[in-house]
Amino acid sequence: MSSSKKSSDGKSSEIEEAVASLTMPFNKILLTSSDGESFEIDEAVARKFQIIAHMIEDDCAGKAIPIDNVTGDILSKIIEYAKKHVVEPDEDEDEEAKKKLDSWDAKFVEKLDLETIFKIILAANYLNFEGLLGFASQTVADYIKDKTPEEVREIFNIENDFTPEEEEAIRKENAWTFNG
Amino acid sequence: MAESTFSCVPEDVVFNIFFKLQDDPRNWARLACVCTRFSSIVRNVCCKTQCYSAIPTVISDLLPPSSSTAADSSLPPPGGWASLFKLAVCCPGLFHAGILLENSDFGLERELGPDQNLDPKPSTTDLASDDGEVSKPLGSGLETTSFWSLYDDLYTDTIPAPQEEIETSDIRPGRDLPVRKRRKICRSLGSHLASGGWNLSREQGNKLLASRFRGDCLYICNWPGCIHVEEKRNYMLFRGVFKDFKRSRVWRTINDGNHRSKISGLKCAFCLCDETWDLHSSFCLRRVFGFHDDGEPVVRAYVCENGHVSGAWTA
Repeated sequence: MSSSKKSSDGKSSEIEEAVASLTMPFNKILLTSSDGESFEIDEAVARKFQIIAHMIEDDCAGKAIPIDNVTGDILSKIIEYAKKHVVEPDEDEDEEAKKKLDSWDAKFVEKLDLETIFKIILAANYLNFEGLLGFASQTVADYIKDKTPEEVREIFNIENDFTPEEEEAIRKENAWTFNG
Repeated sequence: MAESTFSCVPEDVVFNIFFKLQDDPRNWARLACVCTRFSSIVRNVCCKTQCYSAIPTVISDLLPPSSSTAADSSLPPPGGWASLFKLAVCCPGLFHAGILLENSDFGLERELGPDQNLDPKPSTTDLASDDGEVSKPLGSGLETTSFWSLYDDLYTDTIPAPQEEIETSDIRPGRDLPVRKRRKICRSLGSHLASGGWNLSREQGNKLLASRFRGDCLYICNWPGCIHVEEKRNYMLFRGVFKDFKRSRVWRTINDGNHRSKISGLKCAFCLCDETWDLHSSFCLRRVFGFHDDGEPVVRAYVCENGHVSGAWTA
């Protein structure tokens, strides 16, 4: 467990990293979901959630942190993703690892229905977990890409709230994209 | 319920999702048709952001001087952000470029039947396009994004379609046909995603206007524009926008001519303007362009009140 970052003030950052890598794995954070489920995770994993990282920095993180906006099932999924992504492989240095991780991500999201993905998006936004938010957003984008408006409405279960006149006008305006 | 969950997603997150689809402008246009919330996000946020990133110099010219350069505090350009975005990416098509207006058909009045001698890879252009394949014309083309011929247009025109509006007997402005994004050859009559780049430049605009209008600032899309191969000749369709059109010399000239050059039945391809004016017949274009032997003008251009221009050069 040694860090070998060389910088101009090499000594102090090396020491910091060494200390962090020694203590971090031993720090556990307890997250409690809105429906009372508890998850004990390593600090390194918890730090993926910016909202918690800030609390740790500010020393406000007690042993247990309530996550009021997120239910246990969603939180467990998020933690599962976070654990896999604690260390993001460098695409240039370790292509193999990146590929493996991408493949894991694909399988991870394959099993989820759209409703769950929306909940994950909401939770990741709340927790400020950028990596998962970006990934889940991309998944949704891929869902709706190249779909007609009717298909998109079905996917999101959205009601068409245009008036008939508005609908006609906007259809005309965007007719250049359609198949007729 | 998926409905209630997604409606809780905040606007900026929805915008981020939409923004991942920025590569193909048609996605945004389709999303704008889904519901009022999506329409608002697309028109007010997506289009604006994309305009700022794709054509920043044009934007800074087009906006009134009082607005700052910050994307979130500026007034929209005439016609709105969505129109400007559409102008950047959407070819007006033969109809809006006025090619179908003349009484004489210039070889465009088609006999029914597929066009056999179409060369899909013209040697005259050097646009970077690696998508050179052309699939066969299809009998009924309602469900595909592949190559269309005019035969298909006329064939499918005979199939009743509930949403169509017929303005003239030959032209169906409601029909807008899809074209794959990087195709060089376009066969659609209506507007479609433009091939080639999505930039606008002033130099091209300068080449178009007669010398006494050089003081006006006209931005035109990259040359040679979107190429439409027709029987008699090729049409390079372009689109553009005037800066401050209502204060331009072109507009004054059109007014002085008592709007004689107004074209009835030709709406703007990009905004809600119902009327357009012919720049050729109001003598705003360079005289050197002239006419072909069969009387067809070498260049046509039509402008709306917001300064949006649709037109075509002929080879």
